[in-house]
Amino acid sequence: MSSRLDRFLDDEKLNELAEADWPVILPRIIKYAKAKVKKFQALGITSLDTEDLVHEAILRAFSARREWNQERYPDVGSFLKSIISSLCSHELSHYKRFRHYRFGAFEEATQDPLEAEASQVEPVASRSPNPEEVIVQEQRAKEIIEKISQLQEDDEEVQMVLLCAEEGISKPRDIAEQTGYEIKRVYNILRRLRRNLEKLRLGS
Amino acid sequence: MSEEKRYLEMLDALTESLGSSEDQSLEEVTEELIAEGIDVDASISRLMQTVGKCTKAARRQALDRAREERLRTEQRSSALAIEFANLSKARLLKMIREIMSAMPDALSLSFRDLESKSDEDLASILEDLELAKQLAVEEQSHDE
Repeated sequence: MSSRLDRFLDDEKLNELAEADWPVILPRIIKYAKAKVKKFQALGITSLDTEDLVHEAILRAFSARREWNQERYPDVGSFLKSIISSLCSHELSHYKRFRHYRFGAFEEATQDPLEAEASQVEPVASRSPNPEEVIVQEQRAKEIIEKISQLQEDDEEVQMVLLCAEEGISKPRDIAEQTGYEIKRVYNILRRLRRNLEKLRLGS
Repeated sequence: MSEEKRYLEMLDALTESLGSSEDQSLEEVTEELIAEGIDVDASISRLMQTVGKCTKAARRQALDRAREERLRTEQRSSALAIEFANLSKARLLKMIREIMSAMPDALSLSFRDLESKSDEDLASILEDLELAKQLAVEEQSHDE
């Protein structure tokens, strides 16, 4: 009982979550989670599932086990992305313990998703990555970037986007500004990159 | 920063780009997901169930909290009623004035009006003021 009541959302945040336009938010969150999962797959970690990630993020958002800083994450979408990002950035150190929750088991397990799940969730900040695993991850990242770059060596647009990534520029709008490309063009380039990342995963 | 770490950060930036959809319409995002082999409708439907269940559970928690709060207030109120029931009129007026001077925004009661009240009414006013004072203190400590 205490696990349910010692952490709770204030009414305002609860209402914001409850009344959010979920059918509009969810596809964007799935896209975001999918990109994260692909990155992990390319790095050789296949334990993550896109829908599981989104599901976990929703549970954490509602159970308030993750503080919602509304100045930093003003809307539900950005808040969920931050949770997904946090879950993923610590994945290496705990993916073996990550709960792979299937939806069919929901009703069998409990009638109260917050009570059931919140007790299984560790505070993300308390986990620290294993240095050896980080080194392996860094080496794999290098291989991936080099392979992508080689695969699309003649694709000047892709090379420009890779240059932006090197500069830490990640928002398509910022890439458009940096490269002078139309925003739609940037999304098309990203689509090509996504396909190649997929090829890379299948190839490996 | 090591070269490898730089690549990891580059991959992170690229992943953020690939997951971005701020400038896309919902239809464009949905089309992309379908092209990636995701059954969007089924996925959304399952996740909406999660949202529904979480909303219900969180609202139930909020109701539980409100009920606990109400019970606590009622218990305090009864305790205060007993505490103030046998105080003299002068003592009640003194205590009311003390609280009112400490909480100038709480209530605007005229002291002259207070003099005309019965002991019972004064005890009741004091009870309300004391409760309001305690709640304000609690709220303040909660905010801190």
